[in-house]
Amino acid sequence: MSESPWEWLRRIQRRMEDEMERTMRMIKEAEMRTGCLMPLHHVMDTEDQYVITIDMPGADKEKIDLYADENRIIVEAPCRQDIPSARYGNRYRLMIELPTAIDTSNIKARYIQGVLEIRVSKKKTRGTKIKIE
Amino acid sequence: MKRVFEFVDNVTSTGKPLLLGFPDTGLAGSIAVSYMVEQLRPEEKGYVDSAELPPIVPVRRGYPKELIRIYESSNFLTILSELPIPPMLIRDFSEALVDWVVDKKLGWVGCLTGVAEPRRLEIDTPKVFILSSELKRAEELAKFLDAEVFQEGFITGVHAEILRQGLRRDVEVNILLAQAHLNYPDPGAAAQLLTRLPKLVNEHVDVKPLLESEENIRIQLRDLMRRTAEAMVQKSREMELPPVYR
Repeated sequence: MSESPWEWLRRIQRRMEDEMERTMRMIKEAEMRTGCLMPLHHVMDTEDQYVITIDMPGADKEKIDLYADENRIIVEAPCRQDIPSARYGNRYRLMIELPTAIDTSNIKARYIQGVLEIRVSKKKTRGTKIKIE
Repeated sequence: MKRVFEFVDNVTSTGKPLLLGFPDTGLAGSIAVSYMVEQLRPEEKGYVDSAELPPIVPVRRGYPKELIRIYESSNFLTILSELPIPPMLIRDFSEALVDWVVDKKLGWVGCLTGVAEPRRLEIDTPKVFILSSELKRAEELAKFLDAEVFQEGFITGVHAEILRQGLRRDVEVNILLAQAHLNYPDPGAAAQLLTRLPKLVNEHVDVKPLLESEENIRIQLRDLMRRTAEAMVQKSREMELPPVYR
């Protein structure tokens, strides 16, 4: 018997829900294994830079470690221990892989209202002009 | 035909406004309504049931709870949802909700939510915008609540559908939108919604403890924010729009 459009939509919805559950479980497992909290983050891809924001309430600006290599950003910071929700981990850790190479000499970061904002310039690649025959 | 959503409740009073808190932009509405319930302790009067809801039981202070709960106090009714309404079911949910509002002869519907503000980091006190089924009503409320009329843009998700159903059924729907982070829990935005409660429904909630425990709330709500962000992305994919486009 063929599937009705409603059943098909439900099946897609359930698959997305399963995927979400798998992701949530992976995050929890990683947090329990490492004792580190994986902070919420968002990457905005603009023409010449990536604007990354990471929600890290209870961190101390002076104690945030920020590393960058060819196309990765790694952030680590202790989280204040008196925050009850931080009981599963008292340290933030996040690694973000960016889709293109970055200019590690041109990265700016600021920490406001518990959010770390990182502006990362993309590495400029010079293309070659091709003559159309 | 059996409906996807069924309201199971013993609400009897009429004329009261209904405030809604669903996970959405910055979880502003969820945080506002759950904090309001915590502070004012309205009576739990029922729940919204559906076979489509996931097998999750929230536990609060040792009590197993329903996912979508209905509360009533002397001045208002409120519905608090612990999970975002699955995008595919928003239409069914909104129709069932507006039917219920009509059936119970409630006064009007107030949706508490957030509107994504890209420059939220630079803002200490988020603004509140009002969108109503009638522009005149929005202008009145904006003046009364020290807010601004939502002039231009798109509203998506469950509140958009509730507004649409309200327009079709002649049910007054007012959406209060506080400037909020799109993807991070935003207790500051929720506090701005709560400060409008005295004029809106004649109830006062002290937001100081909410703001003092802001860091804790933000860590605690990471999972809900992840689920909500995913639901918002699904919805916006359907519409080929960002979750809130202004």
